[in-house]
Amino acid sequence: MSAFRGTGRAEGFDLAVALRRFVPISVLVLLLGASAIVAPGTLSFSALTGFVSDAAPLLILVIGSTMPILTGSIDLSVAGIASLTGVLVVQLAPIFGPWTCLVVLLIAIAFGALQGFAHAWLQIPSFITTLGTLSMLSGLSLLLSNATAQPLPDSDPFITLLSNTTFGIPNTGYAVIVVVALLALLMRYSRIGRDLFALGAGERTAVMSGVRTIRVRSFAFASSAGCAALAGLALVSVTEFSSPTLAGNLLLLSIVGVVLGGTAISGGVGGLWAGVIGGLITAWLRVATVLIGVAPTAQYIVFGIMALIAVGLTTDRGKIGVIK
Amino acid sequence: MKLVAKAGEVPGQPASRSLRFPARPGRWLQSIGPVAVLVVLALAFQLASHNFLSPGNLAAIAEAVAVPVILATGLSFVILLGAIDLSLEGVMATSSMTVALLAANNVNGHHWGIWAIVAALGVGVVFGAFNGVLNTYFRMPSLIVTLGSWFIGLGIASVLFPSQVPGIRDPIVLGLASTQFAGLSLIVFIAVAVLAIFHLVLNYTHLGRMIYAVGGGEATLVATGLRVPLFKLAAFMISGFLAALAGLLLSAQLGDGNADIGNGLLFPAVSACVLGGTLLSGGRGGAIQSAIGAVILEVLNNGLIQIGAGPYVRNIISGAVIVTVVAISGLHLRRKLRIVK
Repeated sequence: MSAFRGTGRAEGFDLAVALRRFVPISVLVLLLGASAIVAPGTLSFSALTGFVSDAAPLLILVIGSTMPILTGSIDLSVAGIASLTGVLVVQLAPIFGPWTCLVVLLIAIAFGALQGFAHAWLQIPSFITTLGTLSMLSGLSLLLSNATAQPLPDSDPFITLLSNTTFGIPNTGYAVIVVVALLALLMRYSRIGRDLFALGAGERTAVMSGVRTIRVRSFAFASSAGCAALAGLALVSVTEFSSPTLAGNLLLLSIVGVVLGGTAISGGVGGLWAGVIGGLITAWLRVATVLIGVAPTAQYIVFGIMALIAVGLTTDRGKIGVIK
Repeated sequence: MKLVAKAGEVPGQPASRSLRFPARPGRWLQSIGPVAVLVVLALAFQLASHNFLSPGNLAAIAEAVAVPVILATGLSFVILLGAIDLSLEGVMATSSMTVALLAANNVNGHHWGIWAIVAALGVGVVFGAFNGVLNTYFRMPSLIVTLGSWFIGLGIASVLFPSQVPGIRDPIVLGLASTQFAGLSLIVFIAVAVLAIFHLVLNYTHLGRMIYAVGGGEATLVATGLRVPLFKLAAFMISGFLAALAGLLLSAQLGDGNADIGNGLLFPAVSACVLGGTLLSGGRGGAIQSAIGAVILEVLNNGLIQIGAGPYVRNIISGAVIVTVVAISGLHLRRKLRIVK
């Protein structure tokens, strides 16, 4: 895994880099330890399996969001894609039958690739591209579902698979491992992994060295959209209902997860492993805030502040001349 | 004086620029285009539904567009810097809950009257200052800062939310929406006044010129030794103030405090700015342009409903509008090797 870490500064000991690398994992361990002391039941097997099915959608979302952020872009449309996925599964089930989920996943990946292409080829800033598509996607889910929650078709094989458990562990947990393994192999054994970091670390240099920006960006956004769709499927496999606003509050959480893991919002620093750690911290924090008695309504405040602190600590300010 | 001339040279106000250089047709099209779109849309809807331009419907459009115009005016200040303010919905939620809980209401014993209004507006200024300080002094991207404060605002509003919906009973606050002049509510006149005042601020004050200059070339401006962070801070505070005003007016209209009051108003505000010709890269556009953008969106919305399209089409259209307009307005820059994140 260490191969996927930032390629920013190789030589010499840099305190900031070392902090970025080891702080997230220590925070995770400390969090787990603290909650084990406060409420010993939280680390029991049954509690942990519950945590897995609660955390899996968020983890997948965070891993997906990491990819565009590594290139220095950002994908704000992930929550919209995840919500629309559930709605589409219900809408398309009569047409595609058992293949519905696969079709929806492919649609999402194609949409993400198109989004990345539009952002890179038309040179529209990624945040405005994805803010626009977020608005379109949430409008579309409301329109298609007529703003109501609908029951899922109960015979869908993929959703049944996701909602089952193997050896006592929810299958969504295995889905996270599959996603990470797939992306890790792709990034390790094809040049796309290094290209992602190259774009984030210094785009001009990367372009001059022959990195195909448009292709890399399309890949980053396609994988983020694909992960978002899978996260949406994992979500509806738990709720068994599709709702047009199901994933609405996951947008901020997914970005919080990315930065908490040590992936810099300025790009080029971080990686898949950081995404996994950050996602786990965020998911665990969501549990921990309930444990220590923070009202669910106040969670927004906690996560908003967490996001600001994490970004403040991890942004590489030297790289951005003018902060907009 | 020399300073002012310098600010004009950086892609400053369209007026001073067109005096200096022969106007190019693209520029001219950019400023007249939105108005032309507005006229064409209005005529098309009139042909399609026949009562689009009736006084009743025009008044309805004016009522509906008042709050979006206020939001777009505030947002213009931040977008002119080249930054973005995503926290509008959160600020509106907090200001709505603040006014509902501090003015005379059916939940607690407070009856601050006009001071409740002041407090609600103050909340917006504080949010703006928070965004501005984090963006300028802590050097964090405005996108992330305001994304964070968007959710912090929503969280504060939900925490403040009492056991039941706080209904506003204060005559002053309710009067903001119920007072009528010439068939239009006070809200419309407030919106016009806000637009006029902040248009003047942008075009005839030092602060306004500096905001254009920051958007035109921040690095140059920093090099001149001007206190750029102060101008940016002021822009964020104005945006927060006007978002709070919008939240206050909507609460007066609804008659209660609501954490979801700003729901779905951010995207139309951003697309209004973009549609009116305020560039997201900063430095070009203005309050009036953004207001025209807001009117276009409302005309489109109203016309589509009259034709029979559903209420959710609005989101889809404003999203499509943002992407399309930004893409088209940036097309001529594609030849350069630009780094777009």
